[in-house]
Amino acid sequence: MTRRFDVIGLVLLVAAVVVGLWLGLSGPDISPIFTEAPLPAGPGGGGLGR
Amino acid sequence: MSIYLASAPTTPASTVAAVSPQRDIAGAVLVIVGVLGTFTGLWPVVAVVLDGVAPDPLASVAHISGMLAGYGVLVMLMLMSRWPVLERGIGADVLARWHAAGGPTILTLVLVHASFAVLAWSGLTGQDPVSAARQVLTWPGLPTATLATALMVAVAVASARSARQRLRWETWHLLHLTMYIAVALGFSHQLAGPDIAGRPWLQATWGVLYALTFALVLRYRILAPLQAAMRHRLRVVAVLPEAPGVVSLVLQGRHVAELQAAPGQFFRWRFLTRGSGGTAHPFSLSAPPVGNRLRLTVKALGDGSHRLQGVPVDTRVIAEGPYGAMTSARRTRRNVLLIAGGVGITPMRALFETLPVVPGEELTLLYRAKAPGQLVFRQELDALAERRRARVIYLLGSSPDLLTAGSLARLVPGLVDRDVFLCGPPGMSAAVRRSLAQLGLPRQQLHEERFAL
Repeated sequence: MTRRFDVIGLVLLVAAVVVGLWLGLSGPDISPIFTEAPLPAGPGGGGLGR
Repeated sequence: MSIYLASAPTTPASTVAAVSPQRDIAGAVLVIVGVLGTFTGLWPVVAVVLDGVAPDPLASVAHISGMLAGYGVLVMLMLMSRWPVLERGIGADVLARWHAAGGPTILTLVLVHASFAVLAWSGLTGQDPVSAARQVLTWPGLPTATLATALMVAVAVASARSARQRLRWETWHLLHLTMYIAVALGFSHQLAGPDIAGRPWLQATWGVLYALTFALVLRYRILAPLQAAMRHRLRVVAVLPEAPGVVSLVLQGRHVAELQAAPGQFFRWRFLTRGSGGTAHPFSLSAPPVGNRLRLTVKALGDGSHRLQGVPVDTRVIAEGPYGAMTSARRTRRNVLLIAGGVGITPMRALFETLPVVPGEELTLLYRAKAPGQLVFRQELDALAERRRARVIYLLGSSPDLLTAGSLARLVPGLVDRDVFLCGPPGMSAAVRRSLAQLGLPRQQLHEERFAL
């Protein structure tokens, strides 16, 4: 017996990649924390211990 | 009491299974998880070097523990997503043990991360730790991350052995589900951390990893059971008493063969009765599927299994699965020994009926029970033994001597050259494992799934 192709799984996979890219790149406010800190900003935008 | 036997199995050309592709795929997934985990743990150190800044020990600990915690929760979700690749390739019991060990580890990482971040900030700004903590909490994503941590602590407290024994399983499970909220709450904080923020490729990868993991959960914990419910429409058609506090439930549905359930496997069953709350409970099949019928056997050990003793005929059932890797696909040797204790007989009963055996091969079942009245399926087992020219040995009593290495060696000649399938209460299983190790049984020939019975 062969398993049927998982169409729902494929749709979810594609949707997850699209949503993941959106979340990672432009979804929430991802301004780095610690940059508001009174620290000299490093090459990476500063941060805790940098 | 009834005799419930499937038709005789066909004789295969080879009884020893080829290497399971599911184990290979699961192994590949674990390698990827390990590589990504190593990268995640090392990245904060690499980032400091790339950024050309002097490392701060306190901040470095905060960064590494934070990254590992963020990645670790993803792994925990994946382990519990009921992804068939892992459930069948590794085994649900092993996944559950990894999850149980991973939870406290991740919580520790989260707490270390929070503590060291505050201490590092305190040191950098010259503030006392309390003032530093107050300031840190005003940063983007920190209030939600703090709430996520509080939820994790609450679940950890509820999961502690002493608290766990006082809570109903359903309550504990509901509380555990809040971890999904906790993981989501912590996400924006992770992206905003200086190890990820400002590096689009890393932000994108992190976002995709989280989305893929939640997609796995959605696919296999929510959509798959709903699909199965609509497709198979299982109902209880008979409730058969087997022994005091033990009943077999016969279910009938549609297209049951499509489930491809193998003897030795289990489903997570939701019996849609009032008061059940729709909670899923794992029970093994106690017989191979026959037509559109499935049989499971349940011993009253907790609230859920106790209710099932009187479940009404015609009750709708949602079956999620099959799961479990303790099937004939694990077989590596020609001769087989099945060892069952208590209600652990259920998957062994199904295997005893179906494990392929050709002339010259031996199939033996050792069934341990405290008293004759506690034996389940005795008539079926005797009938199967006769039909299959196999041996069934009943070990009755509570004496620890019954399962010593010497006793097993006497009862089962050539034991170390057999595959051993084991399912029983934790204490008995541990004793058998010790005995088998003393006898020199190679670890790869022992196949078991450890659940509290």
